[in-house]
Amino acid sequence: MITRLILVSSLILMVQAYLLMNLFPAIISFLLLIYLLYSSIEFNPKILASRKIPEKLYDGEKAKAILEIRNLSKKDCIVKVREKLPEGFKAENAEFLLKGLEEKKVEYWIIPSRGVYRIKGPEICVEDIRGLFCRRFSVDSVHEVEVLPSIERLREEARTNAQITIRSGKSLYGIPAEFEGLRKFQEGDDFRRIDWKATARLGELIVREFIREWEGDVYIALDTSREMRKGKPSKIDYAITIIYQILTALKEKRAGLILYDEFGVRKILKATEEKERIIREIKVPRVHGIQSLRFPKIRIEKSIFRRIRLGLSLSLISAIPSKSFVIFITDLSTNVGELITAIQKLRDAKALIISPNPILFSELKPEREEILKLYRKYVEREEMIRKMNRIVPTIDVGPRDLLSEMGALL
Amino acid sequence: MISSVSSVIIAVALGLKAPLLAPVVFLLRFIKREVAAFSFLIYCVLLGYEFSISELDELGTAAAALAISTVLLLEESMSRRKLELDQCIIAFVMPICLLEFDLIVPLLILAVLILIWKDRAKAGILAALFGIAAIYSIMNFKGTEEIVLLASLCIFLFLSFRIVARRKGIY
Repeated sequence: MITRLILVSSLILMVQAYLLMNLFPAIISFLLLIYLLYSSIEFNPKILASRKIPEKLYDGEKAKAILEIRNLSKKDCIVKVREKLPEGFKAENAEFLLKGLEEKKVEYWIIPSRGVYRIKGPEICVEDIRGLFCRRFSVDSVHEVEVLPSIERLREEARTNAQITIRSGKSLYGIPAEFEGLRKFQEGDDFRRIDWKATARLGELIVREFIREWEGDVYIALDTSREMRKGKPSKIDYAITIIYQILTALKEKRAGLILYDEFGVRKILKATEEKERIIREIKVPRVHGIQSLRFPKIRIEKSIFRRIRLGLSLSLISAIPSKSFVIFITDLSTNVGELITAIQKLRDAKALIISPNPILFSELKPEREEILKLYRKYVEREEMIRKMNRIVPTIDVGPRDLLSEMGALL
Repeated sequence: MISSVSSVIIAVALGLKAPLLAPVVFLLRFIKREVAAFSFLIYCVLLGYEFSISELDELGTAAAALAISTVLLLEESMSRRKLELDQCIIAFVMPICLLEFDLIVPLLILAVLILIWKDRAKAGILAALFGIAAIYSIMNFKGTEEIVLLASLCIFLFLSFRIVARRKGIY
């Protein structure tokens, strides 16, 4: 830009000299070109650089990238670092002065987006001290990084309520449990569990305790299909927050994770007490695109003519251990038939579906024509959820539903 | 800084108005360097309207001082080097030229030499020497011929600059 301005100045001055028959602007024009030629001849940048990024990063959390750079020429230069990062990443544009033969370590931050990526080295633009010329250098380094969901961020998003515990009077899935005994009221206990007769008799708050009817592990089956990953925030972002909430609520219980998509089961993490490990296993990247609002038709009646690809259902059934409680998190936009087959064939296991509603997550602007279309789709979706509820308890959730829905679930 | 002080001195000594804008151009670099470069273009045009020489033989102290201080102004406006002691000393000494105007050219040449020394210039010096030699060689010609010759030299310099930039892969 500046070089062009100087060249334009030189041209204008030469024209001015010719028109006014004045030699002075011609001399200035000539000197400006000498200045440019001198600067271009003297600009010979040579650098040696390497960049380091932590192997494990956390979604949306600032991470430090360290650039080690050495100026091999004797002249000062300005270094501008431009990161070539995957979509969804953000990076600080570092800019600094590097003196002749100087070696420097520069730190700058990058904000990653969930997934597993191969990140190439940054592009380094070395400018002369006048900022007239620039030469680009590429740093030859490829880093494989895992960007995991950020626990801190989830905590903040979910604003975890300590009062939600699994020790409620009803077991999961709403079935009353067996009476075990009485104890003093503790902070966080459900008020509905207060035994008023015992309280009146003893003069202090007494609550009833129940034996949990169901003692199996909890498995979270997360749909990581393309539709779930679309949008900003995507349904999968929301699903991670929900999973974090469930895991927080399941304090004493063991939990496992099953990741599946359109093509089958992708990952199984056996039930563990390390809840954070489960969150860190969800490394699926976000996808750009508009969410589909097409919902599949559900047929409950069994028919001998009904054809369903059994690939996903079979792999799901084999992945879920018996006597476990499975929470499916899916938007029910793909593989619904196979999912129903899998749920119907579960042995000694109970299931529940938490379904992020694609309409509530849609990025469509609520314009006049769109509202009617969205409403029709919403009714269609409601009908589908109603049918699903006949097979398995299904909770339809939106991006703002967190604690209240979880309270209902637990 | 040196260019601004010298331009003000030239303006006072010769009764010109345009050189008084030099400090403004210099200060504009602190807002944005592109703005400074654009204001420099306007400054040069205004200078060309106000100050004129019809032949190179007339190239006296005033014209030489004004030409050198203009290039120095561009350098100081663009360079990101910090202000150093030697520059401050020259700028401090410069007002002496109000008493003895002929001293201004040696002082400005000294400032240019210090700049080239700081640059650790090597091959670039040849470009500067070529410029001086070219101007002296044109002095034998008269009027329009000088402008045409300078224009052809400018085209030559522009092409040389493009070749150097392309070969080095700079832009």
